[in-house]
Amino acid sequence: MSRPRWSLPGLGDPRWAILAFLVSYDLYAIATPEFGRRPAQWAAGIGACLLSDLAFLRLRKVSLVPLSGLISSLGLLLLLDSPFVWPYALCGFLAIASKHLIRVDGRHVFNPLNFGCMTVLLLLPGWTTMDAGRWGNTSPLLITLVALGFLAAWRAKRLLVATAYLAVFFAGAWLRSQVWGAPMGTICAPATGAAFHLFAFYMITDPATTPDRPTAGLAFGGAVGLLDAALRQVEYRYAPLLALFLLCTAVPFWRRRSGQAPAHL
Amino acid sequence: MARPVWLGVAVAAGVLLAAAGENAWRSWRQPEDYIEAAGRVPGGLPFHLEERAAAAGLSFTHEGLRTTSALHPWDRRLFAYGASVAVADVDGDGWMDVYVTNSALGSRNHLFINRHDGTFRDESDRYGIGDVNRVQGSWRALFLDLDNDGKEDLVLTGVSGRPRVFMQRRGRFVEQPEEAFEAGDSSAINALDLDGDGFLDLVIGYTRPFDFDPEHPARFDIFNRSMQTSHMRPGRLRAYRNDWHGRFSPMPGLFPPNPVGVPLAVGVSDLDGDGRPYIHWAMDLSPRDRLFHLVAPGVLEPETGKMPRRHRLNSMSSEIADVDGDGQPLLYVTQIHDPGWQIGHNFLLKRLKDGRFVDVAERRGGAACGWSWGAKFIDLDLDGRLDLVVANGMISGRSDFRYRQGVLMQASAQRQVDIRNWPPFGDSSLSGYQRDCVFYNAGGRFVEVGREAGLTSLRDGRGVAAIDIGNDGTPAFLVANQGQPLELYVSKSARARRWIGFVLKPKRGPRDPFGARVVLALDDGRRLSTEVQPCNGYCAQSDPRPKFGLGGARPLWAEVRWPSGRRQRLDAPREGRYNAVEER
Repeated sequence: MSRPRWSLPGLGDPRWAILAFLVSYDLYAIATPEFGRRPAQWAAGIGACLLSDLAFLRLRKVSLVPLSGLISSLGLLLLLDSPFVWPYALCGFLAIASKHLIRVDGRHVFNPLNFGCMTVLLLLPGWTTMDAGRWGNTSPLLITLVALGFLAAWRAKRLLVATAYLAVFFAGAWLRSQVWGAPMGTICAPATGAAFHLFAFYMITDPATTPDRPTAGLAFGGAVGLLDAALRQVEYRYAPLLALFLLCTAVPFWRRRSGQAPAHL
Repeated sequence: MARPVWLGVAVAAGVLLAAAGENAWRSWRQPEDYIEAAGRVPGGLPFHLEERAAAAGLSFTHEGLRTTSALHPWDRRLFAYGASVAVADVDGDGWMDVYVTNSALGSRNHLFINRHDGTFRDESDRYGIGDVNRVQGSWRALFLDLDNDGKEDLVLTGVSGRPRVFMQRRGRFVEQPEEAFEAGDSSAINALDLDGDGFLDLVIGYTRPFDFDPEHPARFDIFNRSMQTSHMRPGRLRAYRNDWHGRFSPMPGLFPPNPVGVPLAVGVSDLDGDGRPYIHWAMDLSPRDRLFHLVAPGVLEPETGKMPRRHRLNSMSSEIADVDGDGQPLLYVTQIHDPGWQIGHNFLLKRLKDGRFVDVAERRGGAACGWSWGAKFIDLDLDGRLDLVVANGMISGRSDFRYRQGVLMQASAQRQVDIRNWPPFGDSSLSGYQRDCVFYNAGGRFVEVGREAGLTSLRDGRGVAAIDIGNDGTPAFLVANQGQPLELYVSKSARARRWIGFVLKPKRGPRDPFGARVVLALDDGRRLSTEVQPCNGYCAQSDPRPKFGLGGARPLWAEVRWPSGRRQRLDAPREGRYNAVEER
């Protein structure tokens, strides 16, 4: 019996660009003491994602290099904040498990990182949180993030999703400022920070969990922006993550209604 | 295929809903999730706490600084500091008096003189240190004998403005104009003889690199550029030489000019027992605190890399005591633990042989106590083991500001720095209504027993100061609350409790015994030790008299190591009283 050959995605795969960008962000985080990540946390996050991805792939008899697992782990280490080591491992495992176990028509339903983060943030509030302030949010950093983010979304063919999300976010902010009188600058403050752009350009642009057609992508991005704005108005602290989590469950319905072919992976 | 898949989706959604429900249930059933789980003491808690501030005549409510300027909408957030308490024998009668600071312009500080019957009388006007907030609000008070005349003088830092010196002359404090001090917010102040000239010098930490006038702000970039990174303005660490008679001059070059972080407290202690003190700066908004060793008169050596890196960047207190009775003091540094928002933990730092410090709070207790501020090691049941009291709570108000602050922390540094970009704070709440903690020392492990002990206050605590009001050894402590009444807690017990205390009178060097160490040998083999450093902690000065609970043991002998380095042994010191010891 011959051993399966592990196949490496081709260079045209958009995940390579995303991986390269995320690696650069993670290097920035490593070089910034205030980011507060310890080597053991990096090891736990990356190790849990890679090992569980390999294990699930093996169980499903799929021979792929776990590029997605690596991407999830790098994003996880940027988003999740905990002084402990084990939440990174748990979050990584849950993220990858959701990718392999919660599937419709051959595609996973949730963005793995989104699922992992939401689960541990809700289950373990005394141990985990999200801390967008770790980035420092200086202008050169933001410009870099936005530029690379546009590139990553474009390579993933999900630029419309990101654009729609951004447009609705700002429209919602304007509406909230008009109706409730809060200063526009305050409502839009997150948009001047790094975490916001990571979400807008890297998380909601996941090709596997977002609609493929441009109009549907526009609608999806807009819907995430709308729900995000509503959750922000009620001061829910993980508003964008929860908005994406909830709306991801609608994508398989839409795919079936529109008669899209199931994926094979 | 589809059915099991949707089953999976339903399970996932169910898990999340259950998680959210569980959170809501826990918040309702266990609202004190910001404190580590309460523990049980075998045999029951041997003491309970009684709040007696009003009964003791210590009626005082702190007023925070309020402006009429453009800063007004953020007053309660910007000036959420200024409550402090100092315990000292101001009138020299051998009984401890209490001084509390006020921060609003035009408000009054209060000096409560001990009446020797368990109560106090407000004599601020007689001593001339009541009406001192006309130009600038007070933050931290420090009593010490600056001119070695045997009378306590006063240094008062401000919420903006310059620290001030009040010399005690013939029973009245007289402000002595002092231009040497830099101006700026300051809560971190401590005293030690830095240059070995026999007079107490000062170390002062300023929270901003500049001073500003809250009533007439010329600039609005007054907050840190980012609340979670070092992309912010550094604070200032300064040393001032006491040139006799309470005159000061700067001692440049002792500390780095632009350290990362904001010094909120400074602790002094001989951490390695070599007779030379260390200076520990609690650096808020920095991944590490700063530690310096006074290796020779006027020479400070930075202990780079010895303090552990922390996950959150907060650091508010520097409380130090020999908890384990091994002559190796533990250092307690407070941080913020607010589940779902800020996951930090207080540090209980133990010094290793190579000089590095490791945190043992997760293992030994004391790690989580909300938005912690001042802390004090006090033997609350006089069993010979130090317990720990921690004050907490940032700002109690109406609507929760945590989300809005969280939004701001996601913003660009340029946006964060200008206070006008902040949502108005108004009467909001930020990690408020938190119960202070009592960590009972159950043989090396700290068990949280605050509620059981009767410490149920939800006020915004800042400084914690230990005091013996009646000179009878009864443990008690004061909590200075921001914008709220002062509290006095007295430890009561039905059991007989035994203790021994010392009043130290140095003859060489400073007249205050700051830096003296007392070792007490007990007949059960234990060696208890304490160092006179009443200004450690945060925004509090404690009773300077070394005191030990004896439990069931008897004292055999005591040894005093004076600040001059001389050692003096006392055979058969008497328990149940303060033993006067004069340096020979």
